[in-house]
Amino acid sequence: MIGFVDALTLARTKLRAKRILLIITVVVSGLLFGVLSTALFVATGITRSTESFFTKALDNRYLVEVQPNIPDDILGYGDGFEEPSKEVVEQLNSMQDAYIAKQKSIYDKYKLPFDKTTVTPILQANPFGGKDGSGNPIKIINRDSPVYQDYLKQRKQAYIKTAKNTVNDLKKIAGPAGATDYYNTRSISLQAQSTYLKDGKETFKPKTNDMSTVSYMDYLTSNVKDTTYVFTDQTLIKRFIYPENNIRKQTKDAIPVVLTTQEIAKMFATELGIDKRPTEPAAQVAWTKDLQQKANGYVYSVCYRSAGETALMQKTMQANTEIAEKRNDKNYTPPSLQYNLPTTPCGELTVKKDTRTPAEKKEAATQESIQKDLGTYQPLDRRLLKFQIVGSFTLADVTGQAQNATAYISYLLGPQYTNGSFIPQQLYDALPANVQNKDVLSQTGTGINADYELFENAGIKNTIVSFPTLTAARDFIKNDACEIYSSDCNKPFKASTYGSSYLAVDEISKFIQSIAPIALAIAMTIATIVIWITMARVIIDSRRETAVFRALGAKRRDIASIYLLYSLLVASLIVIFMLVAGFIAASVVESLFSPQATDLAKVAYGVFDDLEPYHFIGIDITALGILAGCIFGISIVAVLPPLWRNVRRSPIRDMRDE
Amino acid sequence: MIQTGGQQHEQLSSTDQKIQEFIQAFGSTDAAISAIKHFSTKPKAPSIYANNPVIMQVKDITRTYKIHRQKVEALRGVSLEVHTGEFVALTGASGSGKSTLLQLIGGLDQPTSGSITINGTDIQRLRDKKLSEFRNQTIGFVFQFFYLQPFLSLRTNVEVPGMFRHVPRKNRSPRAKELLERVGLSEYVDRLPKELSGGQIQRAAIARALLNEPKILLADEPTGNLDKRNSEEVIKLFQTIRKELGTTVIIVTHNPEIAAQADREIQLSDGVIV
Repeated sequence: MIGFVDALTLARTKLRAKRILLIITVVVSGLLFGVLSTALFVATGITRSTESFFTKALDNRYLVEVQPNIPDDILGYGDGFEEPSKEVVEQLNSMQDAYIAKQKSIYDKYKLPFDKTTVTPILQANPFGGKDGSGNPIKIINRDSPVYQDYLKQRKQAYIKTAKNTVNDLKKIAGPAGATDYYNTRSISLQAQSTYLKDGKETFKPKTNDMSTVSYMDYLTSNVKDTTYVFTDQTLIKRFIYPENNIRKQTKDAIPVVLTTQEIAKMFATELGIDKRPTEPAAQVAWTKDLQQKANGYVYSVCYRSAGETALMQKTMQANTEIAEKRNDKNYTPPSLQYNLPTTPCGELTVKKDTRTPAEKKEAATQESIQKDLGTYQPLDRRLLKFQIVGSFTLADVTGQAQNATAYISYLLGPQYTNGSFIPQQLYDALPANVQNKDVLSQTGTGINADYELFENAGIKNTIVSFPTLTAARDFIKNDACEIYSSDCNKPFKASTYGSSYLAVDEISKFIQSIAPIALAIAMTIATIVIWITMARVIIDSRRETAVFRALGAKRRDIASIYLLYSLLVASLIVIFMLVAGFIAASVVESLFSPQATDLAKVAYGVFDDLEPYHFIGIDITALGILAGCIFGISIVAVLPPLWRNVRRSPIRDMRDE
Repeated sequence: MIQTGGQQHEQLSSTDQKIQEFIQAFGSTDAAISAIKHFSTKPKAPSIYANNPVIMQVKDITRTYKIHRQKVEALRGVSLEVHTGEFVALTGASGSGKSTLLQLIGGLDQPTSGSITINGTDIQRLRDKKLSEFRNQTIGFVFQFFYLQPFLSLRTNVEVPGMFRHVPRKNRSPRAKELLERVGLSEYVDRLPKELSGGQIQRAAIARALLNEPKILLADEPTGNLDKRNSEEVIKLFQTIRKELGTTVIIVTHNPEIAAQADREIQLSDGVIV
């Protein structure tokens, strides 16, 4: 049998025949696979850069936000929309009766007549209609009823007794999965009761709570106005806090906060002299640095007023408007008790005029006593809260992720939170009590969140779990918990990545894995056909040569090895073309986007020094090897049919063609 | 005059008739003319090689093709013996079967019936692998259109039969050079065929045929594409090879002058030796 080198010598002469056809074959197949290799180079680059970026930025700390999976009915999500069961109706009615009885006894105590129709009903006709079997309107739970709140609380208490989703339960699951640390987070919202004091001054206007026109990004950047913060372990937001030696401006008389650069620019642009946020990544780096300098240590004030005082403020504002409007109306009787709005920031409301009769005064005092007895009395209270900016971060704009490459990169690398402000727990804990204002800052909200403490005290609370590797974090999210928004979750916990989209790398590879086989199949099919045609043409044109070789003593196997080697040579050319074309294309992508992406990465984490460039080109030897293997494979497949026909031909037939 | 004319006509007719019968006996005009030529040449003195052992024995071979569902009998019972070192010319008109005979002898084709024994081997019994080895080592082929590899140097071209025999390069390369020198191409060893004249290329092709020291050199119209001077040189080369190497040479030609230089001319007509 012919030796390898000799077969190669003879095969190489074939490359010089049918040159145009060969060039077309190499270019067409090379370009097809070139597109794939470009995608591969770029995807590898993005994956590697993102991974190394996260390794550095996240300090090998892959955070997972874990929420206890509390069934919707326990939280009362369906109540007020669906018809309650007979048993529930019976229970609610008896609770309502007890409530009415209690109210009546209090009224009796003050020797006042009690009208039970003034009590908020527990059931009400479904405002959306519907009738039951006997033609009566369907009744649903009235969520505004105080009895319903009690009922819900009882239901939660019953649930807590048997719940299997406490922090301890979590540790039993996450511990074996590799979790190293567990952190508490706790959000506060004083939205309804706080006012941002622009330039330290308080302005008075009726509170509105219209969220319908607010975008998600607006919502995430109205924390200063709404006083919504998340208490978070300092370790988790360490990289956002300005370096220790720079916090010389920090005073100990204000609550330290970390805000988004977006919100700082929105709220304090004039005060701090911050320009509009540029769109160019390179300019963003400079802008972010400038903002950090200027925002560091900035103190702003917010006035907190208790629910009672907030209500009184609203009432006073309404009364003042009414009095002014009806100044000339002789039939108008102004209220007998009038207040002045505060004259100092977050000051007290003072009595402007009190013309109440003794009976009116007594009635008011009695009402207050009744409210106290019922536990619904709201005292008048106010607090001037001072906050100081000690850190910032740039929130990824998730809405822009699909728009272009830079938007995608900033989505990929940027911090991702469902909130836009933090209070670093340790810095807060170090403050004097009068600055902490714990009684105010422990309020957690109303409605569904009202019983947050009930769960928290039972250890059922949101927890941030830290894993040392991406794999451990991913496996925990995938195997041990449901997705955060899943509606049919059978596991005790729901989980998602926290703080960044480090699993986006998985998304990329998942996307590639889903699309790669199709793209590869298309490229392989077309390339096989092209190579087949070429091989068949070359082999047919070489029939006489084959016959001569046979006459000179070549065995069928010798002829086969020459053509197989020829097809492998063609495949090698295609592989070279593919690699060169792919590398050039990926280099173009690299030069177009790498500087921008590197800047975006810097902006994303506010890390400006020694951050490795973000690359769009990476070499995955295995994947490239598979691509090359596919090309060699199809070349062999493509040469076999014409070769099979060729070696079976009688050499004499091809000699005689002369 | 008319009578005389009539007699003349009768005489001519009878001659004509005889010629017609003569031609019919040979099957075709060409065959008849060849036969006349054959018999009119002076019989040669038996060559000194006639006493050598028989290297090739062809026994009653036939070869039938099917072309467009029609049976074509290319050879219809040919027998001949060739002695070692003999220089034999196979002649005949186009389609007489001479090339077919050459290809059967060379193991490129199989006879429909009959047997060919070369160097003691019945080549019909050989399968592809052995037959390829037989062609490679016992036979050297020379073609009318040379068939050198256009993109390989003369030396590499000459080495090709050695490649199929798996002869190491270090052994075959000097031999290729030596053979090229022998055929007068020492200056062209590393040149490409396109730089050479037709005669030079054919000499290189002969060198290629000799690489594996074949016992028999088969040449199919080796001078068919060459001018007179080059043709003579090629024939002279065959004679030298035969003389110096003792190689049996069988050439197919329809050039009577070349055939005349062979020890023996075997003429074929319509698939039979005449």
